[in-house]
Amino acid sequence: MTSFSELFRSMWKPKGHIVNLMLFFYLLIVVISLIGQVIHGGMGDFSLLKASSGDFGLGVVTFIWLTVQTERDYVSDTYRLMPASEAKQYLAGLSTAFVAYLYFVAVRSLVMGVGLGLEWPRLSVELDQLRSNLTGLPHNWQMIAVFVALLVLLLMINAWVYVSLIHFILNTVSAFLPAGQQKVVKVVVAILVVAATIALSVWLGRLQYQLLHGASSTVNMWVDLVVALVTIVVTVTINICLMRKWVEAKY
Amino acid sequence: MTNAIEITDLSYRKNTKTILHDVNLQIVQGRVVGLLGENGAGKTTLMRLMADVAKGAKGTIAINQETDGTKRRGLISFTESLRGFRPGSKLSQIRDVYATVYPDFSAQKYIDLTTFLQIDDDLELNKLSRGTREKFIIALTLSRQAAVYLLDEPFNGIDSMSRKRIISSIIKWKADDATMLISDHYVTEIAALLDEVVIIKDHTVCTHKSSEEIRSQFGIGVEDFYESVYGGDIHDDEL
Amino acid sequence: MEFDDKIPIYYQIKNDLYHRIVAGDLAPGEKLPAVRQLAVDLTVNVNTVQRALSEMVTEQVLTSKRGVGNFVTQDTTKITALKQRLSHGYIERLYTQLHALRLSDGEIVAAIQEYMATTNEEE
Repeated sequence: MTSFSELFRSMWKPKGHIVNLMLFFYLLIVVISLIGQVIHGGMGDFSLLKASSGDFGLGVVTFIWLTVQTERDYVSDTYRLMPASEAKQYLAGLSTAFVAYLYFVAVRSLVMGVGLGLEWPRLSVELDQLRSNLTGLPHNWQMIAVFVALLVLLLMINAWVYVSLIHFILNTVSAFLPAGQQKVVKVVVAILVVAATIALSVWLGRLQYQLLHGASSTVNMWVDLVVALVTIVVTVTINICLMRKWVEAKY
Repeated sequence: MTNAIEITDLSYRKNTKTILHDVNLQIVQGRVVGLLGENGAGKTTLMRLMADVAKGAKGTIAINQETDGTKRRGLISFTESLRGFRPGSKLSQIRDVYATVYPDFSAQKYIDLTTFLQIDDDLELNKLSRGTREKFIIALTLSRQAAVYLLDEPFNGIDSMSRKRIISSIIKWKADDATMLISDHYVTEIAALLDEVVIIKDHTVCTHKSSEEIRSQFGIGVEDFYESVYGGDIHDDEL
Repeated sequence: MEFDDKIPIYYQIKNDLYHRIVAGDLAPGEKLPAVRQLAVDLTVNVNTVQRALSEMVTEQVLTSKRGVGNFVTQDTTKITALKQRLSHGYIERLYTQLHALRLSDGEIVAAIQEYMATTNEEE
């Protein structure tokens, strides 16, 4: 039997490649904008922080690309033939996507961190001024920051497992149901997607309001995190069941 | 003699179409078996169901008495498409993945096979000709020391020299107790390789016979037998 | 070796080995190549070669030493008998076919002698 770490290593390779490519583009953009700064304003305007902190949509592209790769791997005979349970295969796919994205974020943060370090003497003065002006900051802002970071991670995983769920349902439906019933299920799935999107944006809106107005208690925050976590666990369980019973490898 | 493959009352439908129905098949350990049938007869589907990458069938499949899908995958070495790898992957990188993921992968067998089949594993996957790609897939599949090998139309798009080499490599490297199922719709060149022949027709196993029995009982070759079965010259009650 | 797909292959392998033994290409007591090697040389299934060889062991044309391999029998009477069996088969076939052409026994003998005389001359 293939162990989880062996699966992880094999599924990592294409994703690592994607991230490396995207990081290459990112660094290319940083270098180009540094050159631009020098041309336009001379050495005086040189700022690695400015050059490296733009997003340029790279994060979104990387996320989508990783998602596509993950879903493709789930129906590829190369991975599905490996002697590991579907649960292991699914989790290896999900965790490689997650780690790959973290890797992308980490390298970008590192570059931005270097930029920040270079300009720290100037920035620290500005920050001190800013802090003394900002009296309206919630008293538990550190905690809120951690909460938001955790929430973003969980929402990211949620997005992946949700995409898998839709993918697996459509895959199963188009393989096994007759054409008529397929249409019905596809309509239901479409409604489901719209409903989930609305529910998510309502929830995020409420969350934003609570956070900005300091109305969110610690307990509420924990509940939100637990809800996000439970959603992941439930969806993952459904996905693994679908994969075991119905989702076939392509050929 | 133990059965390496035991399929009982297997039926499989896709959308509303029957692909396979009431398939019953026992294959004794160590045999080389030709799985014959027209394109779309269900040969590939049968193999995919055995390896548990096609789902939702009724009935049971046991490989060395194991019915669990994951365990079956561990016992089966199946020719795959390699589509899970980046087109720019080097063949040696693909070998490394195989060596990592399959506990029964033999590095020595891989070297022997790639040398014999004249494959340069410094090449990249997307640089290979159709024939070399097929040869590489065969080399990977046979490098595993599996209980059951499933070769799905391994000679498609391969020139006759390579075909002969593949056939020789099967004779050379298939362990005595390993069982092999080879699907094809053209048998002349592999006829001498086959212990037995299974013909799939009308969505089910139409006949399962030893090749030597075909020759002595009907006085015809395996290819002629297959054509006669499909053409209706040999009736079901004669089988 | 090219096989006729209409005739059981183990049978053709046996026949080929018989001829090689009778003609002396395989000497009495000589070790045969390993089963797998024979299979590779003939491009046939290992099981088919195994079947041919084990039948020849039963017929005592070959002897099998466990873990060592298969050998041509050293018993020359067995080989002589095999030679007789093979040539008898050919003569039988020839005789039946000529007989079917309504040749009398005397005509058959004469025809064969004449044939041998002319071919020997040509040589």
